[in-house]
Amino acid sequence: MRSRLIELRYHARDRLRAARRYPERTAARVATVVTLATSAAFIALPLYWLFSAAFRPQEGIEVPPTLFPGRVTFDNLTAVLAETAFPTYFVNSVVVSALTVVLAVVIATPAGYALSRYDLRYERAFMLAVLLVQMIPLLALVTPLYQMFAAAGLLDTLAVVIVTDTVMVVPVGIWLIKEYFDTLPEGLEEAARVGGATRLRAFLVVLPLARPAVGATAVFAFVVSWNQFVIPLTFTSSQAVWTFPVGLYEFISRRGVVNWPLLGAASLWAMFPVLVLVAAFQRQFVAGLSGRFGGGRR
Amino acid sequence: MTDDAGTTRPDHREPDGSTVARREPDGAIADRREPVLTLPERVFEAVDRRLPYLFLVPALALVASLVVYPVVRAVELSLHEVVLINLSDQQFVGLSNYATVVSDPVFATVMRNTVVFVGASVLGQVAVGLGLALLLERRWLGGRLTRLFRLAFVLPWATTGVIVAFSWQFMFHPRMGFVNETLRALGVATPPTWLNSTRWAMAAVIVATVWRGVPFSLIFQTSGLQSIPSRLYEAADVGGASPVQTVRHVTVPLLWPFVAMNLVLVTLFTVNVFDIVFVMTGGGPLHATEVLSLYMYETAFDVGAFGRANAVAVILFGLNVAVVALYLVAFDRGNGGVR
Repeated sequence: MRSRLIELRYHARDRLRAARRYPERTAARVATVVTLATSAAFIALPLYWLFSAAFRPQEGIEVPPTLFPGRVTFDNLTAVLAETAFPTYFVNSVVVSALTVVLAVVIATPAGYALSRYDLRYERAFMLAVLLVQMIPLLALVTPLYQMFAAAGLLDTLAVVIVTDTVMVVPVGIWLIKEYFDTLPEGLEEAARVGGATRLRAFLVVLPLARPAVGATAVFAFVVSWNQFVIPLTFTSSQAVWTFPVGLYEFISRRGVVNWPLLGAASLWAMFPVLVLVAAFQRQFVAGLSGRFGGGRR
Repeated sequence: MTDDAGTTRPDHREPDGSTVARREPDGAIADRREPVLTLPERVFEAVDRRLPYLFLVPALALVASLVVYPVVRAVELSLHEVVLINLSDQQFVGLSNYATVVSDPVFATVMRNTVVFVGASVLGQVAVGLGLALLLERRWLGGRLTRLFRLAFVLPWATTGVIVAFSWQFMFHPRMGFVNETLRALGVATPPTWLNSTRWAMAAVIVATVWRGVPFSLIFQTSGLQSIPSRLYEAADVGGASPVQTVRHVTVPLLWPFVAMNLVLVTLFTVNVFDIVFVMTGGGPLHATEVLSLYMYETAFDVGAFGRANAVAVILFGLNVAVVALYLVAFDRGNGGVR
């Protein structure tokens, strides 16, 4: 403890001396950190504003509003679970996201592997198609899909939501996994094949090495399906199969008057899994976001 | 890639006895197989040889049936008179759905709104994202601080669109919102009612959209900045270039392809933003924030004119294609300049 303090003091004195010697550079650095911190605060503010409503008492939010709740209460957090249909929506969301993750990984992993490892016919065309498919807007697909699902009698089921969510993430997954396998050496599979293993076995042998890319695909699939709104809004109509975004929209603001403390509480519960996931798997999340893995200098 | 991929092997015998010219993904190794095989083994071998193609089948089937086919279907439906209540009754009407859409006075407003909304949001997202990415690239920030900031900056992208919309609705609340509270504290006596005002609603929606989209541009530009080899910076340093000169002659030209691609992707995302606008304003007040995606949804599921909604969907799709084409042309030219 004591030595740490001394160390800090030396550090501070060192910084101070540097600041005196190079005042411009120091000013630039301070300005950068201040800008970044202000931006971070600005980005956190709207979420804080909504989430903090969850801890404010029901008897009217203070007007004029205060930055910190005057009296902190946890009633809203329990009330939204006990007195509303939110738990049903939450469970539906968990089911949808879990199955989307599984389906997306199961479909995208072998496809990405095949595209990376084998010299296939029409491979370039296929990769180009994967890229182009991502450029087709989901919104333009909503009406024809609605008609197709209606004709097949599949509307108002979780299955439709899961399948459509999966289609939205598979192209990105294929891309991520192909790129990652491209960086892995082929020696292991060659050894396995020379040793008499089938192609399937060889695939299973190298599969564990692709864990980072599979993880990134899974995180991406989870976040996309967890946050998906248009698909469940359009393809489901009965409350029993709503996921939470639809529940939040339809249920809490129905009378035009929004119960902000309850909404804040529901949002907080809904965001909790994502916040934990993103904090824990920041690298995978970022990879899913940019469609590429690390790369460049580090 | 294997060495002899693409070799034609006419002597190869299929399990059913026919001789077929086919390409072996990795033929060299396949030669090691035992000459005499039992039936199940032969079946397994036949399946295993086609494994790479089988691996692609589920993805291909899914995308073909739920992305490619619906696009065709949308074009087809847009040429028919279909109402939501009876989807199976489809009367061919040619291009009359498109004529109805284009002559709708609301459509003109919608297109104007879309241009304003997309233009302002895209510029905001890319500019802020690029700015933050440049600030975050400072080496002296240290790993821990960079990671912390990046985590904070990435949050909006992980947040559910509906929750983003509610957050900003609450921020812009005329009485309880943080924005108006700040404005009142700054001495503005009657701050705008934001989402209830035809003049300010669009601005509020754009702010929320930019807020949501900044993380994507930030991450994209960060990977762009990281792709610039550090030796170029070292060379600039050794050559005595000032920070401004370094940005002007090293960062900007090498980052330009990333900025162009970023603009394409962000424009595509923004043209298709639905949840934020839908929840925040529902397109109102008086169509002031009604963008193309909302107009399409409303036509389909509120008005119930399903055929006409598909015409709007095709227009939306066309807009996306146009954006991609436009940027590809601009991108090509920009690239040629650098070379």
